[in-house]
Amino acid sequence: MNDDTIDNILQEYIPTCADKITDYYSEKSQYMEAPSEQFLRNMKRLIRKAKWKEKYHIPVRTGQRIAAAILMFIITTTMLTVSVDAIREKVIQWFTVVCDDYVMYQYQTDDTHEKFVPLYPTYLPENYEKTEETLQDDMLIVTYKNTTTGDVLIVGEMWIVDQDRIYENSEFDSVKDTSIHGREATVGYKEEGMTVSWREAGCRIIVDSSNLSNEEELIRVCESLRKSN
Amino acid sequence: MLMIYMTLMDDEEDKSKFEEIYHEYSKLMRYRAYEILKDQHLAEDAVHQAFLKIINNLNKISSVKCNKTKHFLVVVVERVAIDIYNKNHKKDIISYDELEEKQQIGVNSDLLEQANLNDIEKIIYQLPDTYREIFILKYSNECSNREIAKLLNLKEGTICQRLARGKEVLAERLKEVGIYE
Repeated sequence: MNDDTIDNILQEYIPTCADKITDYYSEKSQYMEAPSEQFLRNMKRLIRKAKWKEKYHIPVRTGQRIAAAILMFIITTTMLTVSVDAIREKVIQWFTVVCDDYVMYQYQTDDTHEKFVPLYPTYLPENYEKTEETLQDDMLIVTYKNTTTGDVLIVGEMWIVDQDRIYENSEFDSVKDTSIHGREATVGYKEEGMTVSWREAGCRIIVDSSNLSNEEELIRVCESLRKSN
Repeated sequence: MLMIYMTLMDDEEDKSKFEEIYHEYSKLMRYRAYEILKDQHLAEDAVHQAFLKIINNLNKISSVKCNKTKHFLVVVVERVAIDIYNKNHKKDIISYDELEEKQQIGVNSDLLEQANLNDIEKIIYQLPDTYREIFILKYSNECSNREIAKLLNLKEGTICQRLARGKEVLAERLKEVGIYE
């Protein structure tokens, strides 16, 4: 007898056999005693839980309910926490500082001025020409390019409001302290070039060069920065 | 507060599918469980546990008042009741050969006489419980092996093995009585 024959037999006779069996059970069950009070209470509770599961997807088993409640509590608490500005910023700071390897500085302006007055270099190394400028109410970014070598010099200034939090990528391989316009400045060295940064006139100024061998020229450019008006 | 609100929402008109199944079949399930366990409290425990399983498988029940649903519920409560019975009687792990000769807990000898079963149906009914319940779920309720495994708390591989073994046993018994060669 092959498998197909057995399958056919099962497909034909299982439903009819099961029908007759369950009909017999149904008939006999009419003489069953009434259930106990405890059973009725348990089933009433279970029916209620089943309704909640169908309507609101609340788990039936107590363990699952407790786990769901704890999860909801954690999510609600986290959301409430994040809604408070100061704490939210702390969270952002943590992500920025810890995850992105950034350093955070908090600035306080020690210059009083009414508006942002950008500084422009009055000295440029040989063959450098301005190729791009973005000037906004509180920011200036100018790009100068060496027409011969392709080296790039970028002067960036940002007007800092009191208590501004500034995030700087600490990607330098090494740093050196220096002085620009009598103010403390930092020279940072990395594979792609050098960066000089300092604070002046309520602004944070960054001058970035892609030419590592020209440190003296770069310092000279920084010292040459003057107000535009 | 939410729990109280949801309690108040319990409306007579808002009968869920589960509640309908309970009202329609709880007596049948209690009867079946009592036949196996011979104790009302254990039978009620078995029915309660069976309903817990059914809650998670309501999607398999399309229509409340139909024979397939009845078969399904009877298989579920039989399995729960047999598990309770085995647990209370501390059955050891046995091989498949011993499984065939194992006392069939769920077989009712009166039923063989009174339920108008033909010869093949009698043989099917007298198969070991482990094969019969899988056959009912597979060939009457059209459950997949995976669904059967989930329902009976077994691995899918075990279901496949029992299906194959069950068919062998059925074939042997049909040959013994000369129904099929």
